Amino acid sequence: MEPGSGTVVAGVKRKHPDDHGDPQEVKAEKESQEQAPSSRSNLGQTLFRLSMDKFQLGPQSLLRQVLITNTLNYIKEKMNLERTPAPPQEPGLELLLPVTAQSANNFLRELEVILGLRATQDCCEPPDLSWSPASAPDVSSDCRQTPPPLGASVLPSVRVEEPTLGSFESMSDRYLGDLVPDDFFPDIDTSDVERDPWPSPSALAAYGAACSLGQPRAEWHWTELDQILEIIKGS
Amino acid sequence: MGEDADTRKINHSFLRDHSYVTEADIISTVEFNHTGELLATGDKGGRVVIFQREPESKNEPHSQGEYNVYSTFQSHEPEFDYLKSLEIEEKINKIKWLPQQNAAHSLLSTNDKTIKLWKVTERDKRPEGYNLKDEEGKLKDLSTVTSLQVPVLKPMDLMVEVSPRRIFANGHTYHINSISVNSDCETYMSADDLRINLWHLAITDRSFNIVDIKPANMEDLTEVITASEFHPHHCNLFVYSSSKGSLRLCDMRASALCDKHSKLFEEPEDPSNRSFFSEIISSVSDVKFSHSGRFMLTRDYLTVKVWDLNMETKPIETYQVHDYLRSKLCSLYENDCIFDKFECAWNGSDSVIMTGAYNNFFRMFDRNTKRDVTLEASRESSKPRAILKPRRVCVGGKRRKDDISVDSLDFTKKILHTAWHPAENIIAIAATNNLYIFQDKVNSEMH
Repeated sequence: MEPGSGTVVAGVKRKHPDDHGDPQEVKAEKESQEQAPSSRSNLGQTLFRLSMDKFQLGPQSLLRQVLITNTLNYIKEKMNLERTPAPPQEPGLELLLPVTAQSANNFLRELEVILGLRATQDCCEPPDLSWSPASAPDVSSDCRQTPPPLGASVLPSVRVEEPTLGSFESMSDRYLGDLVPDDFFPDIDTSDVERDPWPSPSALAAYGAACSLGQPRAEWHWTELDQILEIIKGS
Repeated sequence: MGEDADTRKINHSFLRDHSYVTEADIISTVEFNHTGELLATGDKGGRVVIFQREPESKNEPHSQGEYNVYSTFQSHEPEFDYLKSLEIEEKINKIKWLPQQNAAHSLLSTNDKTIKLWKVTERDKRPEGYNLKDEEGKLKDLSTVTSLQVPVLKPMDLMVEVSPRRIFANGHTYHINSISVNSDCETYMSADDLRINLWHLAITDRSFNIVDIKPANMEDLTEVITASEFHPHHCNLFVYSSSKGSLRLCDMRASALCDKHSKLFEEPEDPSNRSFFSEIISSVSDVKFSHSGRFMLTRDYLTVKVWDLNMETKPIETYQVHDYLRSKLCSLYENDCIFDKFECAWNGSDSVIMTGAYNNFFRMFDRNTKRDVTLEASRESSKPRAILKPRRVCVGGKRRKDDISVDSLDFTKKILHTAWHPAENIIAIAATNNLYIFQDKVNSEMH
């Protein structure tokens, strides 16, 4: 599964149920806020929620999980940094966080536990059947010489063409298609088992509304996260 | 030739006009062999399709260089790991051709867990006139054998046979992201998220673990291996890239377990440019040695970089692939596109590099002239001999005719996998379930 298509193919819709904003309007607002430095804490808050969502619902790719976890940790650092001085001139974070700093810390601690739980699951892997490093023979015994300077590598003797950018043409249109047999079951309704197609850019934009910044306080229920955490723990 | 033609006819009849795309049809890897005569594609359905370049035909002058379907086979099937209760997808992650040693061709294909070695052979003759067997292979009644004859080889319709030669299983706990055949032609390596194994091509039941970055406590895991490749000339050297944007060059002569790299290629991050997405967009999705072996090409989310093996501190060249997406990273994170793994490729002389982008666009960068071009792989531009028109993405300001705005880009159409012919300017572009093959018009007319 391609990393980029995982959640969409799986048909998981994470649009917030309370979100009814006009997609174009919300998109424009989001972009403007993405660029505004003053909204950094808002963005962090939104990304934090989004990352949590992704972490729990995403496909099983270790690379993706690690990148999301690191992003979560970075956001957490940023949030901690912003929260530590607790200046009165920072109402944005307080407005967006319908929780106190203490409860946010609790939540982050809880998050660490979850990340830990997720990570420790990997410790139950079966023993690696490949040879252990200790059992590997000394490869160096055969090659004692130092490597030649890398820059001294000789170009291959094959004569190669120099391309002219922009003069590429199609060789044939026969490669189009997926080169697989025709549908063997043309008469059978497979709509029930077919997966959702990719959303159009406009649909993505509408979907992007869930990521919009500065949502009103009432739209974000931390209890939902608690429920999700409970489900994860229970499973 | 008759049966070969029939085979192609059958294969072509398999082509269908796609008004929809099924998951299994999506091409997941493209790879030319060492001469460029063959091109293999793998898809999410576990199938491998091999194309062969046709020789020049007097009757059809335009058929020169065209690639036709040579063979199609099912490489991997979906499996289930009962110990971990995990499905193992049949998707072909990578294909690598082995240097040709005899009349047969060999290739390695891998899904998330299992690597397979396939042998591709042609048969156009068959023995006839056995003394003890009839044409169907059954033993003759000895009483009917009255004289002895010498069996002879008779021509027959060309038949392409693909047979599995080796299956390298149980070597990886995590998902295999790369395989690379060593220049010694005897070994290859396979890399997953946390480990790299070295295999002998003839031995399937053991492998050497040459890199292991798995921490003792998985809670401490912050970095994974994203790609790796052997040096094209020095069989002791290989490189692997990481999710933190670094490259580690390892020398297998230093120690059996290459936990300590010989060189670390890393570009220092500008703290002022640090953002929430810095790490994700700096994760290296592909690394390729140049044909000369002097340089390395890496792709991250927004750029391609050329590294000199003699300079670890920063890349010698950085090219922006689609910098206009920098302001869209939040949306791209939300729709998961930010995790897309774009590949990159060198041309035969290492003077031009190519990589994919969104909206079925792909980019080329000329290292000498510093020119760059955006081209589009689309059905409209894929009519035979149609020249690709350069495309331009408009980032605001004055918009020319035919420009496309950033907001109009289709992020579902992405070119992740590309390949460049090893010696000629022929490129293969995988766009979802379509394979496009383009050639440089100027140079093809000169030949």
